[in-house]
Amino acid sequence: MSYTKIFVIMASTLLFLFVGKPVAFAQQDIEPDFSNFDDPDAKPVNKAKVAVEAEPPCGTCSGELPKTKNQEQLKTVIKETKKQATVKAVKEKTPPKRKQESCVTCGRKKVADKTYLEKATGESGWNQFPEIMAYSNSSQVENMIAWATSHHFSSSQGYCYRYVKQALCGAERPKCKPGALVKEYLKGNPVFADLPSSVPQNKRIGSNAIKALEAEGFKNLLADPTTADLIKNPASAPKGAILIYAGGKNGGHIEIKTSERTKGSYISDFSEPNSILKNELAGRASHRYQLVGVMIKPMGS
Amino acid sequence: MKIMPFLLSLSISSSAFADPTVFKNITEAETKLAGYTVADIDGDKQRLAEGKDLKINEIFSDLEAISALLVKQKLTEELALQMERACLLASLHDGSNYAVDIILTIYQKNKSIFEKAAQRLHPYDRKNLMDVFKGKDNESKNGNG
Repeated sequence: MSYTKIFVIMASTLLFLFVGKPVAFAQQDIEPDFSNFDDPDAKPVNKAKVAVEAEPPCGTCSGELPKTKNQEQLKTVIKETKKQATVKAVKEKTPPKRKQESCVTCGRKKVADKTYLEKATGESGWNQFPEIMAYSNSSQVENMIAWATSHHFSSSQGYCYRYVKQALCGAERPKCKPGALVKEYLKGNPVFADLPSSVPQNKRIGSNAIKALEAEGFKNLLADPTTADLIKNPASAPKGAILIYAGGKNGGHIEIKTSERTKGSYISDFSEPNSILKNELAGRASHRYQLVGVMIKPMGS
Repeated sequence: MKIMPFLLSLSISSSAFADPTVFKNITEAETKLAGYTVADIDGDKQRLAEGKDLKINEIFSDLEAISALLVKQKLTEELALQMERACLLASLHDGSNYAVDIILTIYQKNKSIFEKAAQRLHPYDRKNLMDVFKGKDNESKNGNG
């Protein structure tokens, strides 16, 4: 073999190795990348030429494509996941059922504890006042006490004057029972006109229970010096007396003393063995009142 | 040195007039009220005999402090429940329901919260207390006659 032949073979081999590649790319319909042409290690980037041809018109696009089995399964899974997420969210939003509190007032009866009963000071002394004794022992007072005893709550509802009015009438509004302590249902509201300014003025007119009872023939024993000395506290008041207090938050308080000394109780819309003024176990709740009226209706013996 | 007696007298006077019950937040108030039991109220007889201050007065002070706290903070259902419990406990010895009078303005502004909270009370307590709230609410508007 001549040197010329060897040279030609070598040259054609080298030509195939270096120049033949673009030819190969062209054959495979792959566009060579010349951006890194100087880099010997650069690899060709596959940039396949996509033949752009006009697509045939879609015949089924307007209608719904038939669902494959996988699509239906996927839909079911999504549905279930959504359902679980909703249930979880609701559970998180709903607070756990809280504990029910145990009963505080069930089976609690107010029993007069003699240790804490208000002490009536000195002898009663009412025997020297026959018109007062006649009132205390009258059937009208008994009827009033009977009504009050059977119509009250366990604790105050804010209707003390209403319940005392009814007891004095022996009936509910509007008519009083014949022979009751008062002829007409007492007018005026509240017991004492020291209500806050938020209460309308027309609600305060004639609001003093003392005036209303005086109009029915009652007498305030605290206003008379001969009887006022005998009343040191509510327990000293005679049986059947209507006790009127100033103070409190909503226009005073009124209650009926059901017995002489400390035997009975004090009733309005609630009943207590002690008066509202001298209920030591009530702490400072009882310190906010002031006794301003001890009302009885003098009667002939 | 002249300022020392002044500071001393100032600190003494400020402590003398300081309010004994002040709650920093709602949670503190809830915890305090939740701690009261029927036994506390029953124990007042013994405290009265010994000349000690009564638990019922402590409840009143707490309710007053909460009323002050709720001027700035919002009432929660839990606190409303504890206030209702405190009122029921106080009513065992105080028939005039002074505790309800203390918190009446709060009740008037948050009736729905109080009613919802009352669902957790015993039905007997719930009826008693809600009647008292409604009656006192009416009393404040229309008087007691």
